[in-house]
Amino acid sequence: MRRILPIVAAAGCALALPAHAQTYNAVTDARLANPEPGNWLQFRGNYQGWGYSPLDQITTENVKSLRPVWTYSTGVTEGHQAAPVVNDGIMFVSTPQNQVIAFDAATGAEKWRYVRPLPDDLFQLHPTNRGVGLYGDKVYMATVDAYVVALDAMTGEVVWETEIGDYTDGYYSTLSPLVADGKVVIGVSGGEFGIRGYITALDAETGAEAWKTYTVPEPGEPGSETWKGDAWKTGGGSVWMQGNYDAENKIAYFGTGNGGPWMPDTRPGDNLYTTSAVALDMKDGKIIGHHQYHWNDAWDWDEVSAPLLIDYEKDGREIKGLVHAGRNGYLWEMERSPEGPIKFVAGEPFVRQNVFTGLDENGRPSYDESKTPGTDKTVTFCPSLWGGKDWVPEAYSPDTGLFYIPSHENLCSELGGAPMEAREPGELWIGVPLDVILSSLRFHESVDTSKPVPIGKLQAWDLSKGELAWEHSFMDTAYWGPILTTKGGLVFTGGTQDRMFRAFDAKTGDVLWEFPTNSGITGVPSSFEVDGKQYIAVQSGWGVDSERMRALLQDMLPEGRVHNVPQGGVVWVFALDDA
Amino acid sequence: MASSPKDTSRSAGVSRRTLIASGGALSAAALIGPRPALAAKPRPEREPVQAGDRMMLRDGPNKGKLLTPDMLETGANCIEAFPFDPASDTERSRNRLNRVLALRLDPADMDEETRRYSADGVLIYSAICTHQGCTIETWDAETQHLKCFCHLSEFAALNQGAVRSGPARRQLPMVPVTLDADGYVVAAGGFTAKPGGAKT
Repeated sequence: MRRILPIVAAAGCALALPAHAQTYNAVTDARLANPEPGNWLQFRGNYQGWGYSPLDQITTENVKSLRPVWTYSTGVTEGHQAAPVVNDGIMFVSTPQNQVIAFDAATGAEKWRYVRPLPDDLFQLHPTNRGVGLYGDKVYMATVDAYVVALDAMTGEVVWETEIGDYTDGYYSTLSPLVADGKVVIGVSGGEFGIRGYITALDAETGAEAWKTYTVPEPGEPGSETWKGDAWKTGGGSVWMQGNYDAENKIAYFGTGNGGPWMPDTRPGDNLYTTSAVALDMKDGKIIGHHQYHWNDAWDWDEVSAPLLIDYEKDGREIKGLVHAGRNGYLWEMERSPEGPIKFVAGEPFVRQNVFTGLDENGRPSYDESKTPGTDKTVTFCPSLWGGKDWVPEAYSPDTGLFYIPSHENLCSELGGAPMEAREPGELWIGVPLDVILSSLRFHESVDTSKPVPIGKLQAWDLSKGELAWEHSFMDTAYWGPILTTKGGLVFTGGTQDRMFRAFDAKTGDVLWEFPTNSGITGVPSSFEVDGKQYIAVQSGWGVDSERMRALLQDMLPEGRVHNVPQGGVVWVFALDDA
Repeated sequence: MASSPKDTSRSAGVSRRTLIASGGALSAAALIGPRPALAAKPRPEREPVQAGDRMMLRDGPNKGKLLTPDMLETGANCIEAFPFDPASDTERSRNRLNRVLALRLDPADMDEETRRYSADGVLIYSAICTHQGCTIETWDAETQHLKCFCHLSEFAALNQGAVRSGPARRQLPMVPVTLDADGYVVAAGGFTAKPGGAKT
């Protein structure tokens, strides 16, 4: 399946570089492990997954003066979710349709653009890309036709590309690569197509496969005892999001998607390592630790986000933590170890959750069967199939010690499966009729739709105390806003249907600034510095699941309360005038 | 802007450079794999729908049979199908863009153009959404719309597949049909527009 295309650079169609061509500051393991405050070298800024910038020029005092300094139209629609990644004044942005655009980060001048010619017969269930990875002098992107492409950071020329899956069989990638230890680590999605998920590492220099680890074990492998029959062959376990990384111990932590097909009776057993956090040895990809958030998923609760690496004090003890706001609506605290094993610490709901009846001492939940759908069994459960928190990244600030969650409250789903036909490669294979999914969203029974309904909720949790510090509700709107925290005491997020980009006081939750952009913001914000000036960057471009949810809310709330959100991506960069 | 940007797309860059690097079309094709630079005439199972093709049903009580109008209840449902080449006895199902939906509506409700493309009320639409290439499977009998699960685009079946809501910008292509001497629904030509998703 894997092909490597060695590329020989040629002059030909390439236009000349600008006269002021810069030298490129190569990205190393050391720089990724200890990024300079002025750079944003990967998806969440650091290997721990914090989404935190140590820059403090923009503060709670002066943020009201923040204004756009440049914008740029990406030329495509759908979900613009990638973080603007910045290395010494050069910004790299990926967009839907697998474009990568390189800019002068301070001026917005385009340096080069890579446009991937995607196949005509591609089925794009999730037309998005979540960002690039940097290493050495290359820029890496995983694609929706299941390739990884390596580009020259200064020219955009393709250096190599490697096929990591067969898109005609339902495999595709939307995640940003984790790059470390000379490897580009990515995973595949396709759980709605009957795939068997995996994480694979490619040599950063050549694109050759270094290792490949399935998230669903085959018979005889550890964890295979949690599957029956041939269900493992189509068991799902998609990998939707970049892993986080313990650089000291060289361990990668990923979150995994739900089992496939959706209904639990189609794949009896716990279904390891779906809906789990997995710890992989970067050397060989071996799974050396895991924690399954919930077993035998029935609710489409992919646990897509990797747990954040956060060290904090709890009950008088220093915890080297792994923290995850689950799609299943629970806030999970775990402890990592240098050898890999993951230990459960605590779990509690952060939104209304009526499925779990309790957790045992290892964090294994028990279920209310009346809230567990199945084939020919339709039930209503909360949170909805989009969960308490979907892919949208949570964040942490070491200054406030708070953990910030972009959540959905008051949403539930009514769902049930139907007997399945044989799998057809590359076609949806869910086990729930599409018209059922299309009409599955429900409000919680306590909701009165004659008044504005709190749906989106930005939450700030004190991990040491295990309690909510503050929250901010967004009324009558979906909220798909990735979060940036800064040393300036700010939390930046968009994600609402009113197209706003907002800054909150990280300690109190007060709204300090807001700005209406071209579209809804589902992009990951980042912050960087050029010539002593701090910038905030984000892509605005509504689409994919945010639009799916919005369209359903439009039918659930009285007319006039839910508006359309225009599509079309724009890169926005903000700064202070007098900085 | 101070300088012209560089387009480094694979079509402009990789395949050509690979060709240059490897010195010939044969080795380039071997490297590039399933997308050869010069396409030969595709095999019948990959060829786009042709005039004279019948429609092989993929679902429902008549699964595996060639479509005749009586197999469809008016307004009730849409059924997946692929064109079938009677000359080579081949279902053209190795080309995903050939996936179609068969449905039957009252010709009196159709606009004139749609009626012209129909045969005894039978309409054949592309099953590939013009937004992002997802497979359309949902029929809304109330609105008479075909709905895409992926991103909720809706297409009016009575009006040449016109976009009625959602992010799609192009109408859903049709296959004009007629009935042959044996009563089968057959294509009168290829798709009325290019099937498949948009690239923006």
